[in-house]
Amino acid sequence: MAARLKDRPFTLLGINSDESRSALKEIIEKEKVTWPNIFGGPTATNEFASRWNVYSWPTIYVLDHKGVIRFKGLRDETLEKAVIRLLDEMPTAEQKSRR
Amino acid sequence: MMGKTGFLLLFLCALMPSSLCGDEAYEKLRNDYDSSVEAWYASLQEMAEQDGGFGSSDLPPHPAVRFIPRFKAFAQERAGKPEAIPALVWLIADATKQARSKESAAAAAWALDELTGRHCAQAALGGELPNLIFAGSYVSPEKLKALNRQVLAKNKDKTALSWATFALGFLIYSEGWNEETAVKGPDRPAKALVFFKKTVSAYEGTQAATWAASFVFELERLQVGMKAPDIVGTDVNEKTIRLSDFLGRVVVINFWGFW
Repeated sequence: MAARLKDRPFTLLGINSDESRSALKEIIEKEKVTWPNIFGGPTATNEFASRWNVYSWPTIYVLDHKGVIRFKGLRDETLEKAVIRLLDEMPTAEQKSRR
Repeated sequence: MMGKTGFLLLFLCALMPSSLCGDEAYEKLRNDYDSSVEAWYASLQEMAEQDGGFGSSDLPPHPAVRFIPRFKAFAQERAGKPEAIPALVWLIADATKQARSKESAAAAAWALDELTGRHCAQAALGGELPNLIFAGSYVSPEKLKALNRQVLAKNKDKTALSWATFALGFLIYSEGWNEETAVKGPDRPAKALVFFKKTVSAYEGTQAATWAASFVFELERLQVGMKAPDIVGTDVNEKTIRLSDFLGRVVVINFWGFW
């Protein structure tokens, strides 16, 4: 999905809960992960997951361009459709300059 | 819904201190059960290797099925005594999850009535209550709520009170998960929030309070329509990444792991 939307103002941000930075590094290389990832450490002690009350993995939040939470828990096709909808909602550069 | 509950249980097991201690007779029964489960898994493994797969019909039943009468008898022999509690909790939280039969459901319902009727004031229930938090898929959530309300009314133990308060919040919170039975209406999260806040303020320093704090944060800050709080962390190369770096872009936050 990150690859399909690479030309649009979209970011997939991972909050990773693998064992160690080196384990994550290996995965990133092996799986060709191109999107940014914050390393949080294993699930039981992952400070980001515990703060955001994440108790099942993966957990997904969708934010619009203003940083507002718009969807929670979407997957696969529904997720991509929702993201495209939010991208289409964004004011274009042209509209912005007219304001 | 079950998938999510499964994850929750895994997570819970990873965090819980072992609450099964004290009673040697119970430990023996529990060890018998655990080794039967191990043997059962080994036999499945063997079958898989032999046939290259499972015939769906000829799976041996989970050992929980034949252990239900033993745990029940154990609890009956100690009726009303604190020593019965772990066996009753097993009948509700473990047996039903594995056996999924009419018998297991009946045994779980019986065990829950026992806990509510005879054990709700006992301090020993405190350490076991967290094992019942996610049992709402195996027994009537309303009856689970009733147990926790009885604990709040009659128990004096801080651990028991903290878990009972948390559980009441969680049972209301999780009513939204099953779409068929979801209790709709804007007041459900607000009602859950009251219990989570109470857990945090009244039982400071308990594990239940720590968990409740995360639920308070989620309900107050992470709902659809709210501006997401910032996340600041570092990547594999120790480079700082902030969620706010991506303002102006649509962002999918993916809490993930590759295990």
